[in-house]
Amino acid sequence: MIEWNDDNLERYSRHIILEEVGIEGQEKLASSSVLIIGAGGLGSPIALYLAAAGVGKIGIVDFDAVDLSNLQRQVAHTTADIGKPKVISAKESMLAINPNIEVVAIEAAVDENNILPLIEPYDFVIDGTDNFAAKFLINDACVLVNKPYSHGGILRFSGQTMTIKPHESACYACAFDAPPPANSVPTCSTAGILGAVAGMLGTIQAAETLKYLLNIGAPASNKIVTFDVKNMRFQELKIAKNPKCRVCSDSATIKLGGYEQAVCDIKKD
Amino acid sequence: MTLTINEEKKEFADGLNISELLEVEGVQNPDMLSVIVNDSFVHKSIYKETGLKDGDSVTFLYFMGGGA
Repeated sequence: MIEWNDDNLERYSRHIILEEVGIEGQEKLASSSVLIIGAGGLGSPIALYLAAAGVGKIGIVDFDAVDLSNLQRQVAHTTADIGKPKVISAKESMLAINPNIEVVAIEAAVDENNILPLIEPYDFVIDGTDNFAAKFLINDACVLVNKPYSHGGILRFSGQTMTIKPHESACYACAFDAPPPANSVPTCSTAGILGAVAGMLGTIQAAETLKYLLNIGAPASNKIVTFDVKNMRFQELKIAKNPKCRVCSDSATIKLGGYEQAVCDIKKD
Repeated sequence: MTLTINEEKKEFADGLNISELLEVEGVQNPDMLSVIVNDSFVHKSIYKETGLKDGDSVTFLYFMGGGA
Protein backbone atom coordinates (compact mmCIF):
# COMPACT_ATOMS: atom_id res chain seq x y z
CA MET A 1 0.00 0.00 0.00
CA ILE A 2 1.11 3.54 -0.62
CA GLU A 3 1.77 5.77 2.30
CA TRP A 4 0.13 9.02 1.22
CA ASN A 5 2.83 11.39 2.42
CA ASP A 6 3.70 14.62 0.59
CA ASP A 7 6.41 12.96 -1.48
CA ASN A 8 4.14 10.29 -2.87
CA LEU A 9 1.32 12.74 -3.52
CA GLU A 10 3.80 14.81 -5.49
CA ARG A 11 5.46 11.84 -7.23
CA TYR A 12 2.17 10.55 -8.59
CA SER A 13 0.41 13.93 -8.90
CA ARG A 14 0.10 13.76 -12.71
CA HIS A 15 -1.58 10.38 -12.41
CA ILE A 16 -3.77 11.45 -9.53
CA ILE A 17 -5.22 14.40 -11.45
CA LEU A 18 -6.30 12.05 -14.23
CA GLU A 19 -9.97 11.31 -13.66
CA GLU A 20 -9.38 7.70 -14.78
CA VAL A 21 -6.56 7.10 -12.29
CA GLY A 22 -6.87 9.21 -9.14
CA ILE A 23 -5.81 8.09 -5.67
CA GLU A 24 -7.76 4.87 -6.05
CA GLY A 25 -6.07 3.99 -9.35
CA GLN A 26 -2.63 4.78 -7.98
CA GLU A 27 -3.31 2.45 -5.06
CA LYS A 28 -4.47 -0.18 -7.52
CA LEU A 29 -1.14 0.12 -9.38
CA ALA A 30 0.76 -0.18 -6.09
CA SER A 31 -1.00 -3.45 -5.33
CA SER A 32 -0.52 -4.82 -8.87
CA SER A 33 2.18 -7.11 -10.20
CA VAL A 34 3.60 -7.43 -13.71
CA LEU A 35 6.16 -9.83 -15.20
CA ILE A 36 8.34 -8.51 -18.03
CA ILE A 37 10.01 -11.24 -20.08
CA GLY A 38 13.12 -9.78 -21.69
CA ALA A 39 15.20 -6.84 -20.41
CA GLY A 40 16.27 -5.63 -23.85
CA GLY A 41 14.91 -3.21 -26.43
CA LEU A 42 11.26 -3.63 -25.43
CA GLY A 43 11.82 -4.67 -21.82
CA SER A 44 13.91 -1.57 -21.04
CA PRO A 45 11.30 1.14 -21.71
CA ILE A 46 8.55 -1.10 -20.33
CA ALA A 47 10.47 -1.61 -17.08
CA LEU A 48 11.31 2.07 -16.68
CA TYR A 49 7.78 3.32 -17.36
CA LEU A 50 6.06 0.73 -15.16
CA ALA A 51 8.52 1.46 -12.35
CA ALA A 52 7.93 5.19 -12.75
CA ALA A 53 4.16 4.59 -12.77
CA GLY A 54 4.38 2.90 -9.38
CA VAL A 55 3.42 -0.68 -10.26
CA GLY A 56 3.99 -2.31 -6.87
CA LYS A 57 5.78 -5.47 -7.89
CA ILE A 58 7.62 -5.94 -11.18
CA GLY A 59 9.36 -9.18 -12.12
CA ILE A 60 11.91 -9.04 -14.92
CA VAL A 61 13.39 -12.10 -16.60
CA ASP A 62 16.44 -12.30 -18.87
CA PHE A 63 19.42 -14.63 -19.16
CA ASP A 64 21.80 -12.23 -20.86
CA ALA A 65 24.44 -9.72 -19.80
CA VAL A 66 24.69 -6.12 -21.02
CA ASP A 67 26.75 -5.77 -24.19
CA LEU A 68 28.01 -2.58 -25.85
CA SER A 69 25.81 -3.27 -28.90
CA ASN A 70 22.70 -3.18 -26.66
CA LEU A 71 23.13 0.43 -25.64
CA GLN A 72 21.85 1.91 -28.94
CA ARG A 73 18.30 1.07 -27.75
CA GLN A 74 18.20 -0.76 -24.40
CA VAL A 75 17.75 2.37 -22.31
CA ALA A 76 17.59 0.64 -18.92
CA HIS A 77 21.32 -0.08 -19.20
CA THR A 78 24.29 2.29 -19.22
CA THR A 79 27.88 2.08 -20.42
CA ALA A 80 28.96 1.35 -16.86
CA ASP A 81 26.65 -1.72 -16.85
CA ILE A 82 28.49 -3.59 -19.62
CA GLY A 83 29.04 -7.18 -18.51
CA LYS A 84 26.43 -7.00 -15.76
CA PRO A 85 23.37 -9.28 -15.90
CA LYS A 86 20.64 -7.29 -17.67
CA VAL A 87 18.08 -8.00 -14.95
CA ILE A 88 20.39 -6.53 -12.29
CA SER A 89 21.17 -3.48 -14.39
CA ALA A 90 17.45 -3.00 -15.16
CA LYS A 91 16.52 -3.43 -11.50
CA GLU A 92 19.02 -0.74 -10.48
CA SER A 93 17.65 1.69 -13.09
CA MET A 94 14.05 0.98 -12.05
CA LEU A 95 14.76 1.50 -8.35
CA ALA A 96 16.76 4.65 -9.11
CA ILE A 97 13.59 6.08 -10.67
CA ASN A 98 11.24 4.75 -8.03
CA PRO A 99 12.57 3.21 -4.82
CA ASN A 100 9.04 2.57 -3.54
CA ILE A 101 8.42 -0.49 -5.70
CA GLU A 102 9.58 -4.10 -5.46
CA VAL A 103 11.63 -5.44 -8.37
CA VAL A 104 12.23 -9.17 -8.70
CA ALA A 105 15.22 -9.85 -10.96
CA ILE A 106 15.20 -13.36 -12.42
CA GLU A 107 18.34 -14.33 -14.32
CA ALA A 108 17.01 -17.12 -16.52
CA ALA A 109 15.87 -17.96 -20.03
CA VAL A 110 12.17 -18.86 -20.17
CA ASP A 111 11.52 -22.42 -21.24
CA GLU A 112 8.73 -24.97 -21.02
CA ASN A 113 9.89 -26.07 -17.56
CA ASN A 114 10.01 -22.71 -15.79
CA ILE A 115 7.44 -20.57 -17.57
CA LEU A 116 4.35 -21.55 -15.57
CA PRO A 117 5.84 -20.92 -12.10
CA LEU A 118 7.34 -17.69 -13.48
CA ILE A 119 4.09 -16.20 -14.78
CA GLU A 120 1.59 -17.54 -12.26
CA PRO A 121 2.28 -15.07 -9.39
CA TYR A 122 1.73 -12.01 -11.60
CA ASP A 123 -1.41 -10.13 -12.68
CA PHE A 124 -0.15 -9.40 -16.18
CA VAL A 125 2.70 -10.62 -18.40
CA ILE A 126 4.62 -8.74 -21.10
CA ASP A 127 6.46 -10.36 -23.97
CA GLY A 128 9.64 -8.44 -24.74
CA THR A 129 11.52 -11.42 -26.15
CA ASP A 130 13.43 -11.54 -29.40
CA ASN A 131 12.57 -14.90 -30.92
CA PHE A 132 9.52 -16.81 -32.09
CA ALA A 133 10.12 -19.86 -29.90
CA ALA A 134 9.80 -17.68 -26.80
CA LYS A 135 6.89 -15.66 -28.20
CA PHE A 136 4.82 -18.77 -28.95
CA LEU A 137 5.80 -20.38 -25.63
CA ILE A 138 4.62 -17.28 -23.74
CA ASN A 139 1.35 -17.31 -25.68
CA ASP A 140 0.78 -21.02 -25.00
CA ALA A 141 1.55 -20.68 -21.29
CA CYS A 142 -0.61 -17.59 -20.84
CA VAL A 143 -3.54 -19.26 -22.61
CA LEU A 144 -3.01 -22.40 -20.51
CA VAL A 145 -3.26 -20.57 -17.17
CA ASN A 146 -5.54 -17.80 -18.41
CA LYS A 147 -3.03 -15.01 -17.87
CA PRO A 148 -3.57 -11.74 -19.74
CA TYR A 149 -0.51 -10.53 -21.60
CA SER A 150 0.90 -8.13 -24.14
CA HIS A 151 2.54 -9.44 -27.30
CA GLY A 152 5.20 -7.24 -28.87
CA GLY A 153 7.39 -7.66 -31.92
CA ILE A 154 9.74 -5.28 -33.71
CA LEU A 155 11.77 -5.47 -36.89
CA ARG A 156 13.90 -2.78 -38.56
CA PHE A 157 11.48 0.20 -38.74
CA SER A 158 8.29 -1.58 -37.70
CA GLY A 159 6.51 -2.79 -34.63
CA GLN A 160 3.38 -4.72 -33.77
CA THR A 161 1.46 -5.40 -30.60
CA MET A 162 -1.68 -7.12 -29.40
CA THR A 163 -3.14 -7.40 -25.91
CA ILE A 164 -4.40 -10.89 -25.23
CA LYS A 165 -7.06 -11.90 -22.77
CA PRO A 166 -6.98 -15.68 -23.18
CA HIS A 167 -10.27 -17.32 -24.19
CA GLU A 168 -11.91 -13.87 -24.47
CA SER A 169 -9.91 -12.31 -27.27
CA ALA A 170 -7.81 -13.58 -30.17
CA CYS A 171 -4.43 -15.01 -29.14
CA TYR A 172 -1.08 -14.74 -30.93
CA ALA A 173 -1.68 -18.15 -32.55
CA CYS A 174 -5.12 -17.03 -33.84
CA ALA A 175 -3.21 -14.50 -35.95
CA PHE A 176 -0.01 -16.38 -36.76
CA ASP A 177 -0.75 -20.06 -36.03
CA ALA A 178 2.84 -21.22 -35.53
CA PRO A 179 6.39 -19.91 -35.80
CA PRO A 180 7.63 -19.32 -39.34
CA PRO A 181 10.11 -21.86 -40.69
CA ALA A 182 13.52 -21.37 -39.07
CA ASN A 183 15.44 -18.45 -40.56
CA SER A 184 12.69 -17.47 -43.04
CA VAL A 185 12.03 -14.28 -41.11
CA PRO A 186 14.92 -12.18 -39.86
CA THR A 187 14.64 -11.74 -36.11
CA CYS A 188 18.24 -11.55 -35.04
CA SER A 189 20.99 -9.01 -34.86
CA THR A 190 21.58 -9.13 -38.63
CA ALA A 191 18.21 -7.52 -39.47
CA GLY A 192 18.77 -4.34 -37.47
CA ILE A 193 16.36 -2.17 -35.54
CA LEU A 194 16.04 1.59 -35.32
CA GLY A 195 16.56 2.11 -31.60
CA ALA A 196 13.64 4.49 -31.13
CA VAL A 197 11.24 1.91 -32.64
CA ALA A 198 11.89 -0.32 -29.62
CA GLY A 199 11.03 2.63 -27.40
CA MET A 200 7.80 3.33 -29.31
CA LEU A 201 6.53 -0.22 -29.10
CA GLY A 202 7.72 -0.72 -25.53
CA THR A 203 5.89 2.36 -24.31
CA ILE A 204 2.73 1.25 -26.16
CA GLN A 205 2.99 -2.07 -24.30
CA ALA A 206 3.57 -0.25 -21.00
CA ALA A 207 0.48 1.91 -21.64
CA GLU A 208 -1.58 -1.18 -22.46
CA THR A 209 -0.42 -2.76 -19.20
CA LEU A 210 -1.40 0.29 -17.14
CA LYS A 211 -4.78 0.43 -18.91
CA TYR A 212 -5.37 -3.22 -18.10
CA LEU A 213 -4.40 -2.83 -14.43
CA LEU A 214 -6.59 0.27 -14.10
CA ASN A 215 -9.40 -1.02 -16.29
CA ILE A 216 -9.28 2.05 -18.50
CA GLY A 217 -10.63 2.30 -22.06
CA ALA A 218 -10.41 -0.45 -24.64
CA PRO A 219 -7.37 -2.72 -24.99
CA ALA A 220 -5.57 -3.49 -28.26
CA SER A 221 -7.38 -6.81 -28.32
CA ASN A 222 -8.81 -8.61 -31.33
CA LYS A 223 -6.53 -6.49 -33.43
CA ILE A 224 -2.87 -6.08 -34.16
CA VAL A 225 -1.69 -2.53 -33.91
CA THR A 226 1.23 -2.14 -36.26
CA PHE A 227 3.33 0.79 -37.37
CA ASP A 228 5.95 1.56 -39.96
CA VAL A 229 8.15 4.42 -38.87
CA LYS A 230 9.67 4.92 -42.34
CA ASN A 231 6.36 6.25 -43.61
CA MET A 232 5.03 7.00 -40.10
CA ARG A 233 1.97 4.91 -40.78
CA PHE A 234 -0.05 3.27 -38.04
CA GLN A 235 -2.62 0.57 -38.74
CA GLU A 236 -5.09 -1.50 -36.77
CA LEU A 237 -5.55 -4.91 -38.34
CA LYS A 238 -8.61 -6.70 -37.06
CA ILE A 239 -8.04 -10.26 -35.79
CA ALA A 240 -10.94 -12.44 -34.73
CA LYS A 241 -10.59 -15.32 -32.32
CA ASN A 242 -10.00 -18.32 -34.58
CA PRO A 243 -12.55 -21.06 -33.74
CA LYS A 244 -10.00 -23.60 -35.00
CA CYS A 245 -7.01 -22.02 -33.23
CA ARG A 246 -4.28 -24.53 -32.47
CA VAL A 247 -3.82 -22.99 -29.01
CA CYS A 248 -6.94 -21.26 -27.68
CA SER A 249 -9.91 -23.01 -29.33
CA ASP A 250 -12.13 -25.26 -27.22
CA SER A 251 -10.74 -28.37 -28.91
CA ALA A 252 -7.06 -27.39 -28.53
CA THR A 253 -4.70 -29.20 -26.18
CA ILE A 254 -1.61 -27.29 -25.19
CA LYS A 255 1.68 -29.02 -24.68
CA LEU A 256 4.35 -26.52 -23.71
CA GLY A 257 7.61 -26.44 -25.62
CA GLY A 258 8.73 -28.01 -28.85
CA TYR A 259 9.27 -24.78 -30.74
CA GLU A 260 12.55 -24.72 -32.55
CA GLN A 261 14.63 -21.62 -32.13
CA ALA A 262 16.36 -20.35 -35.26
CA VAL A 263 20.09 -20.91 -35.04
CA CYS A 264 20.95 -17.25 -35.50
CA ASP A 265 18.76 -16.28 -32.51
CA ILE A 266 20.58 -18.47 -30.05
CA LYS A 267 23.83 -16.61 -30.43
CA LYS A 268 24.32 -13.72 -28.08
CA ASP A 269 23.72 -10.40 -29.84
CA MET B 1 -12.75 -7.16 -58.61
CA THR B 2 -11.99 -4.84 -55.71
CA LEU B 3 -10.16 -6.18 -52.68
CA THR B 4 -9.21 -4.32 -49.54
CA ILE B 5 -5.61 -5.16 -48.66
CA ASN B 6 -4.57 -3.90 -45.22
CA GLU B 7 -7.25 -1.19 -45.28
CA GLU B 8 -6.42 -0.09 -48.85
CA LYS B 9 -8.82 -0.74 -51.75
CA LYS B 10 -7.19 -2.14 -54.87
CA GLU B 11 -8.33 -3.60 -58.22
CA PHE B 12 -7.42 -7.15 -59.22
CA ALA B 13 -8.30 -9.62 -61.97
CA ASP B 14 -11.35 -11.74 -61.11
CA GLY B 15 -10.93 -15.20 -59.64
CA LEU B 16 -7.54 -14.77 -57.96
CA ASN B 17 -6.62 -17.21 -55.21
CA ILE B 18 -4.42 -16.30 -52.23
CA SER B 19 -1.24 -17.74 -53.74
CA GLU B 20 -1.80 -15.66 -56.87
CA LEU B 21 -2.62 -12.57 -54.85
CA LEU B 22 0.64 -12.89 -52.90
CA GLU B 23 2.51 -13.12 -56.19
CA VAL B 24 0.72 -10.12 -57.73
CA GLU B 25 1.38 -8.12 -54.57
CA GLY B 26 5.08 -8.94 -54.78
CA VAL B 27 5.32 -10.96 -51.58
CA GLN B 28 8.57 -12.81 -52.13
CA ASN B 29 8.38 -15.27 -49.27
CA PRO B 30 4.89 -16.32 -48.07
CA ASP B 31 6.52 -17.71 -44.90
CA MET B 32 7.07 -14.14 -43.73
CA LEU B 33 3.42 -13.41 -43.18
CA SER B 34 0.06 -14.68 -42.14
CA VAL B 35 -3.06 -14.09 -44.26
CA ILE B 36 -6.48 -13.24 -42.89
CA VAL B 37 -9.52 -13.03 -45.17
CA ASN B 38 -12.67 -11.34 -43.85
CA ASP B 39 -11.44 -11.77 -40.27
CA SER B 40 -10.71 -15.50 -40.71
CA PHE B 41 -7.19 -16.89 -40.51
CA VAL B 42 -6.30 -18.91 -43.61
CA HIS B 43 -3.76 -21.70 -43.24
CA LYS B 44 -1.02 -21.55 -45.87
CA SER B 45 -1.72 -25.16 -46.86
CA ILE B 46 -4.95 -23.95 -48.53
CA TYR B 47 -3.77 -20.69 -50.17
CA LYS B 48 -4.12 -22.21 -53.65
CA GLU B 49 -7.64 -23.47 -53.03
CA THR B 50 -8.84 -20.27 -51.40
CA GLY B 51 -10.41 -18.08 -54.08
CA LEU B 52 -11.09 -14.41 -53.48
CA LYS B 53 -14.18 -12.51 -54.50
CA ASP B 54 -15.13 -8.91 -55.05
CA GLY B 55 -15.35 -7.00 -51.78
CA ASP B 56 -13.16 -9.37 -49.76
CA SER B 57 -10.97 -7.84 -47.12
CA VAL B 58 -7.50 -9.34 -46.93
CA THR B 59 -4.97 -8.70 -44.19
CA PHE B 60 -1.28 -9.40 -44.64
CA LEU B 61 0.19 -9.78 -41.18
CA TYR B 62 3.96 -9.82 -41.12
CA PHE B 63 5.84 -11.83 -38.49
CA MET B 64 7.93 -9.60 -36.25
CA GLY B 65 10.12 -11.60 -33.93
CA GLY B 66 12.42 -8.92 -32.56
CA GLY B 67 12.35 -7.42 -29.11
CA ALA B 68 15.86 -7.21 -27.79
